[in-house]
Amino acid sequence: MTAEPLSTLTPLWHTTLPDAARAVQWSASGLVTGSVDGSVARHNVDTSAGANRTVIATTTGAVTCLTASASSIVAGDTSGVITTVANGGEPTMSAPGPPVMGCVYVGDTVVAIAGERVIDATGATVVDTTPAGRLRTLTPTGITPTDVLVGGTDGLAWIDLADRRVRQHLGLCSVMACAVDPTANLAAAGDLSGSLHLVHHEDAEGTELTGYPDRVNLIAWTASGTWVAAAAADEITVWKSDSASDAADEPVLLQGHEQSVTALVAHDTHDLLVSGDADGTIALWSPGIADRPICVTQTHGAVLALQWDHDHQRLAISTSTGHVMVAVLTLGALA
Amino acid sequence: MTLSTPPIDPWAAVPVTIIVGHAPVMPVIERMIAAHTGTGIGIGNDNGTDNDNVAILDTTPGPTHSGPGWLSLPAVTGQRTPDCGCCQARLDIVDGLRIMVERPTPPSHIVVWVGDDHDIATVVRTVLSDPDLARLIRLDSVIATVDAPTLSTRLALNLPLADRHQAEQLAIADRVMVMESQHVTAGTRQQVIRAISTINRVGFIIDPGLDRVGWSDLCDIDGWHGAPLTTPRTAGITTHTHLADGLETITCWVNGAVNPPVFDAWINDIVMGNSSRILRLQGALRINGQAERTCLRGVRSFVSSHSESEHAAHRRSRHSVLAIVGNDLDAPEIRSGFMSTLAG
Repeated sequence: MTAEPLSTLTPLWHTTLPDAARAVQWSASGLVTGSVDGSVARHNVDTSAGANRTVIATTTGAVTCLTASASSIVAGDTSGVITTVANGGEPTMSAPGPPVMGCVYVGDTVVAIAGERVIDATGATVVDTTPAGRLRTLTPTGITPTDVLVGGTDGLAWIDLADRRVRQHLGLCSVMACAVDPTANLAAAGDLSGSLHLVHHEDAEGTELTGYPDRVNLIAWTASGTWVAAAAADEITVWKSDSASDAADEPVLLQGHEQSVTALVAHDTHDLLVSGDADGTIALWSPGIADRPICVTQTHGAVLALQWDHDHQRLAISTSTGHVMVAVLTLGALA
Repeated sequence: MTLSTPPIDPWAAVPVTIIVGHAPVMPVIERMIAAHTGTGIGIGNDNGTDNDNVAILDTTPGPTHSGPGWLSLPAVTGQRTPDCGCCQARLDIVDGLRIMVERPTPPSHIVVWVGDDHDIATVVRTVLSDPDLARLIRLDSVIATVDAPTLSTRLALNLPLADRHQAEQLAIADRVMVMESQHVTAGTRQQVIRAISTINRVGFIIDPGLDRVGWSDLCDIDGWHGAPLTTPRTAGITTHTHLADGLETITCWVNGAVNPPVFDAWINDIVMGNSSRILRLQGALRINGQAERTCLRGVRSFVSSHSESEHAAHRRSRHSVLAIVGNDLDAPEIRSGFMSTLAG
């Protein structure tokens, strides 16, 4: 059978939760959602919609982030508690503190950011303070298995978790989001003033790309490292990575959203982007085609989180109305 | 200056009250909740099923309160430009309000409780200007609380009534709540209220110990939308009021229409030249040929506009009025500049 020319996202499964899910994560045991009411729930998306929700933990605050390994699910919340559910056992919780703004597995270790600290799943300090200030964003760099990039009110900091030290720092005004090039050469950071910064990991030198209509909240780098996308207000622009350091080049505006873009994710193996907005519009983009999305689907409420599964075929989507949807990607022949 | 367009239907957004104080704030919040629910203290449940609730975003330092509908976040201030105070944003308030409103059933009212040493202009600027918040919430009012015994003691000792942060909070508040006035004499209470009225020219002073305070006194004020409350007693003139330490409220009020291009250029210069000093800007401008006045509101370098047609008829008039609260403003220049924008 010949593939259709354009890739598509087709809704496969959905459910409605009692509260908004601000985080979704795929785990070995299914889809996990983290809600504002503090519930962390596991869903079997292979069954029909409805009665397949199992609450595996209830945190003390609103869930802000989720990460998962083969055996554990970890949630951070607004009360600063990190909740770990391992192998279906009873949840364990860290002591409260500043809100957990992000958490991620780096190897087999959970790393989270809360206040000015980088912490582990027990809430113990990994790095007490960094030059990046109050931290908001966190991502592994891929340079070494223990290297992470954090961004905060005072800029970016590259942290070697093995040595528990900051190995590089770049002062910027209020970093809102960061992402790294899959080839591990560059980092991208969006700031409060509406600039995108492309920075070399090696020396923290880089380029500032200005002109976004407001703070740059969301950044994604496509799988090949060819394109970096950044969203601010209702605009998404993409830069070709190899020319983005040349400030004379113009970014390409992806045209399709009429409301604020609230979520953005890149596919892990193909140069595709998915964005969601405050109106519930989900757009699938091939970065080379800027005139319109190659596929659009609709959900209810503002899109709060997007997450590809480990096979890169199913996309989990959660919204402010508590709607959770899984859509299946069918790759097109051309884009 | 940033000119932005508010949501098409501002009334669909959740109203937000900012409350700040050097006196106990909890009694005021409890009054708001009680007045709102009509059932006493109770914020409603937290699972989104109760649509008649008041939610609290607590950004005060120290021990946090808790309970359904209560979210405590430490203050986080972000900068757009290094060492520039005029375009800072409170990231914790953006995060917190989004968490509270982006739910299946948002609360019907939100109180943002900020610490008494926080910069109120940055808080207001964040609530008014953040693009994500613009579609979710609308600023209903700023309420400041003061402690009557403390203020009366300061007056008796000839000490300044307020420090800079507190004076700014009082100057731009839509309501000033005089707390604990039962502990001072009636004469002293009047002294305190008179002293506050020299700082606040844009709101009402309320003594909940003596005045009956209902829901309409604290909520649905819509104080930052439409014409400013302040007007001089005599029509056709402009006035300015000197407050302590360079803090002042300038009111320009004329029975006439402005020339739009001239006014736009002038207000742009005023805002850009005073962006670090403007704490509150609000106006309603008559424009020849237009049935409705154009309303302005802003703080620091942010200004937005809307048509007065959004307001009930009884709130409208045919005058042009502009009030600016700020530090070290050049009142004569603003006064003459405003007059120069009048049409014909």
